[in-house]
Amino acid sequence: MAKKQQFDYDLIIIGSGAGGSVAAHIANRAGMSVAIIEDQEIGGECPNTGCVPSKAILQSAEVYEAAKQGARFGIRGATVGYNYPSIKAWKDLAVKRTGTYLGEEMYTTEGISVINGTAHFIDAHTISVGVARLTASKFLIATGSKVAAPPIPGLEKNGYLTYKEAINLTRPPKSLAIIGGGAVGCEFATALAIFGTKIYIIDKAKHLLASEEPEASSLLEERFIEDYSMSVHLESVVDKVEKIGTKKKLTIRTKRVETAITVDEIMVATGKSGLVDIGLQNAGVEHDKTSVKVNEYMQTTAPHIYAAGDCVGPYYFTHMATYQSKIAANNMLNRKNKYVADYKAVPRCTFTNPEIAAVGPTEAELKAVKTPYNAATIPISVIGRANIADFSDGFVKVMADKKTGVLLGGTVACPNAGEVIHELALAVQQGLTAQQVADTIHAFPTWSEGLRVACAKLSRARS
Amino acid sequence: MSVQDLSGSAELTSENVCDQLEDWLETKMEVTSSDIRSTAAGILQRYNPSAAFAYERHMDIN
Repeated sequence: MAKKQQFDYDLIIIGSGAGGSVAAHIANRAGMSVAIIEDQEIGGECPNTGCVPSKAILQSAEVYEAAKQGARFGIRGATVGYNYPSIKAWKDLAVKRTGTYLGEEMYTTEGISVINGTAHFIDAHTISVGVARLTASKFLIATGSKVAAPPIPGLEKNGYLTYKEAINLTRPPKSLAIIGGGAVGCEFATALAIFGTKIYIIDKAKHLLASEEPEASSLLEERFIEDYSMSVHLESVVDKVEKIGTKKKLTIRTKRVETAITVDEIMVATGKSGLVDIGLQNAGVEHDKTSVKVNEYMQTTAPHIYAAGDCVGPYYFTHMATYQSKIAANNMLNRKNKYVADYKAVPRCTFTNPEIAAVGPTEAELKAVKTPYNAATIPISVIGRANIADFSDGFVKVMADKKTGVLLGGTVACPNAGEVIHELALAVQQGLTAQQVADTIHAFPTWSEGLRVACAKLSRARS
Repeated sequence: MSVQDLSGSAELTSENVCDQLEDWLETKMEVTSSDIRSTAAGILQRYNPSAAFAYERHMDIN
């Protein structure tokens, strides 16, 4: 009888971020011997350089802005100001309070091995980490992503910030050009504009947040220009970057018109691409330049190797990575009842002012695939909470299948939209109709009432 | 590379590819010949896609 091959571990996970950590705990609890390979900070991007620090800075910005507007609500005080080193200290505290601050200890106390170094596949069951070679029966690739900077002449040479550096500024720059008007660009634009930075946003798309509903983009563009005095250059590309003394000059082309702006700093927020340079071809794992190819079970083209998180896509969200990691781990363990990745109700939140949150396809996407649907939009000003908060610029838009009334998706633009969206996500995930949501009692006065009113309008449109 | 390319262009391209390949190798402790082949092809792709195609597949042609 052939002797069973002995491996160093049952499972090796490459990356300790959201895509790796969930699977590590599930596999460990199921009795697998698990090792995590990490070449940077334990916990990956989200708690260290991504969501947590950027939202902590946004929290400070939001409080500062609210304090400045206190007079509207009868609050008087001395001149409100901020101290940026203190804001940075607050951000560091928020990072420190995440579970990942414990570092390796978080894993080692549970019996999970943590190995610092860069992993590279040598063959289907072997990776090299530094001078060591490790083998495992199964692998999970959770390498995350890197910023994809556009090839603009002079950009690399003259330097730029990404979100990783922008969270560690010692003070806000006087002026900042943000290349990219997606969620990351818009969030940093909001925070830094509130702290007094003159913001220029340049994006080749027709709208900010180009993948969201145009109503949401228009709302944000209007607020950015009118309330924050930003310069928004849409359908524009940066042709070159030059250094002028201590400043940086960007030559921008909008259609056929060329303009130049001079700023103190440049931030690149043009998106991310998966980290796939780990010898995947040696293990028989198919991939392209930006992502690892997986099936609905999060399994790569090498059946014993799974992948999760930013290196897979299609969304670069922490909640996406944890979801995929859970699926990968369960499928490694439970061969009879496989978990299947389902992306129909993935919430997407942009933490601007107001927050923009969406779930499911946009109206344009429904049209593109010729899905018959009904849509209803209500201005947020019709609900009681908007009156109390003195906020009237947002909206709620919902879409449902024309025949069945089952909710397909929607967008919420108002304060706390990131919370409100989960009711719609649940409805989409569970196949509820607009009528069912409209018939559910919603507390008065809450932002969530907007969803009930929009669903009631959608139900009426159907009947 | 194409005979229509400018004189010296092949040397310049191979120099650039080798330099970038060496930079990439410095980030790795251990690589396979397959890694070198695919990475070199990926870099060459930026300079001369036809040459990269031929380089990537020359061992498959009998």
